[in-house]
Amino acid sequence: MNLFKESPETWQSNVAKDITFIVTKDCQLACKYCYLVGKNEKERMLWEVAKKAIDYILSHENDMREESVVWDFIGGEPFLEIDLIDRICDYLKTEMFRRNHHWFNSYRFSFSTNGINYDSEKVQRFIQKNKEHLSIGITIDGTEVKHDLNRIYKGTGKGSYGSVVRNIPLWLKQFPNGGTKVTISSADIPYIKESVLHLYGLGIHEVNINCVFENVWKAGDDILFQEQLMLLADEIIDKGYYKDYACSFFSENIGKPLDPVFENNNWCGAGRMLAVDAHGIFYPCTRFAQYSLREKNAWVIGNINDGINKNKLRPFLALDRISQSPRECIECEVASGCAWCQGENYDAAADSIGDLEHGLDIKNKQLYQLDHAPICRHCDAWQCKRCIWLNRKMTLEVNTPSHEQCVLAHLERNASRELLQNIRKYGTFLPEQEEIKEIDYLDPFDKRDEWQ
Amino acid sequence: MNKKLVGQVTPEERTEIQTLFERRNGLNELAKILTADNAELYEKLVKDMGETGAKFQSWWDRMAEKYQWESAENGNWEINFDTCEIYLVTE
Repeated sequence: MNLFKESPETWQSNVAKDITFIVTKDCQLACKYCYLVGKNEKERMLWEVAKKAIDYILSHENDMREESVVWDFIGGEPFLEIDLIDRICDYLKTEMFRRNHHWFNSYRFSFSTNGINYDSEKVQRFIQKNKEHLSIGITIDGTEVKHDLNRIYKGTGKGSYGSVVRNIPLWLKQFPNGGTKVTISSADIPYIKESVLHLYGLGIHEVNINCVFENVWKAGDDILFQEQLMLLADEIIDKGYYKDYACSFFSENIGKPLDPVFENNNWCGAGRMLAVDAHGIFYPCTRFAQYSLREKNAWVIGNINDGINKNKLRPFLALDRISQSPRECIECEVASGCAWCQGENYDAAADSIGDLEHGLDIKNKQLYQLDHAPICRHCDAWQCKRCIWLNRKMTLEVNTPSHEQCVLAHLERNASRELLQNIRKYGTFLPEQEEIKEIDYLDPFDKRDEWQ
Repeated sequence: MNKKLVGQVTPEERTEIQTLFERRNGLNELAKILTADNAELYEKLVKDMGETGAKFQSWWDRMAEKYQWESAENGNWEINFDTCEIYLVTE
């Protein structure tokens, strides 16, 4: 038995498909650390788009075999579109049942809200209607000072703490195990300790804290951060909070080395998730939608009319920790618990590989090499040409081949095998060459469960 | 309300009742929005609610028979899906 409370496991984690509806790109707030750089009031999902997305997803049950599903609603602020969400959820329930879809036995509707209109009649009616299948998190960032430092109203710049904290008692009454998500950027660091304790004081037993992935940090932030963690840890121990309250900074799983073979999972769920926006475009995660990206174009994997292009999912589904990490991360002594966001990595990565004046300057060269190629490093079709240009064209990623490329290479491989066997029937031929083994697949991607 | 630990089931048995529990909740919430106007689906729902309810009760009957848990008048059993533990809950 644990002496201290750990954050509870996410519902059906690892066996649930996460499908996100970006129902609006609007929000009452303009949080300073928000990664959504393209928020606007115009891009609101229409019912016809949502319905078409649902029809596509539910009619492709064989492509989405996960045991459970989390229907996630995100904005902007999702509850601004409560009428649409209510209609979507009613349709989902009806259609999953009508189609005898296996997800009817295991689904949740999930929301991360700023909490401002949580007590509105429409939101409350929706909660009563769906209460057995809801997961709702209200974001409150800590003390009034810390919250209002970043979470301010659009236009007026006024802090939103008062509008949110008044709804916390109602939320905790309806979801006693509700957890909140605190975000830390450079300016917030001095308020970490008092903010976590303040949230405990409000009755929130689970506080999950994320440092922003964007590069906002200043020299000396690491020292301040460590000081705050030490002060917070002391208080949690001295006051005995550890028995009933959890803080994700102090999870037992954090801060250990990871085995390169047995602990090689990709931390990020992009690709295993699916997101759809107001235009009916599918993304591997909301972080690849245009409104999340500062520098790059959206990473589109399909749309509600043409469906999902499976080749464009391959770079995500084949990816593991080793193939995307530099040596220092692979060998890191405190790798466990380290989070990364592939969307931010994509956005922040430099496109340039140098210029004529300064010469070649290729960042993370290892990512082009065979031993970092998610599929090819496990492949035994040695003759394969591994055309980077074609990979980029078909899968949007230079080091991941398309299904067609893999099948072609394996048909060639099997033909070589047959030829070698036939020649050897008539005598010794290339005696130093081992026999080419028989395999039961044409695309190693289909066997990824064996090496992931 | 008093809760007393009275036994434990296997993970397989837990999964069986958890699936039925989820399905029953799903049917109950569907029943709030489905009306008799949609005759075909309404009939399907009513039939499923009956079948799922029966399977649900059958699971508790089978397990109670198998494990002989302690019981009480005005009490009922509860399961913790995370630990597979069975509790007797009394007023």
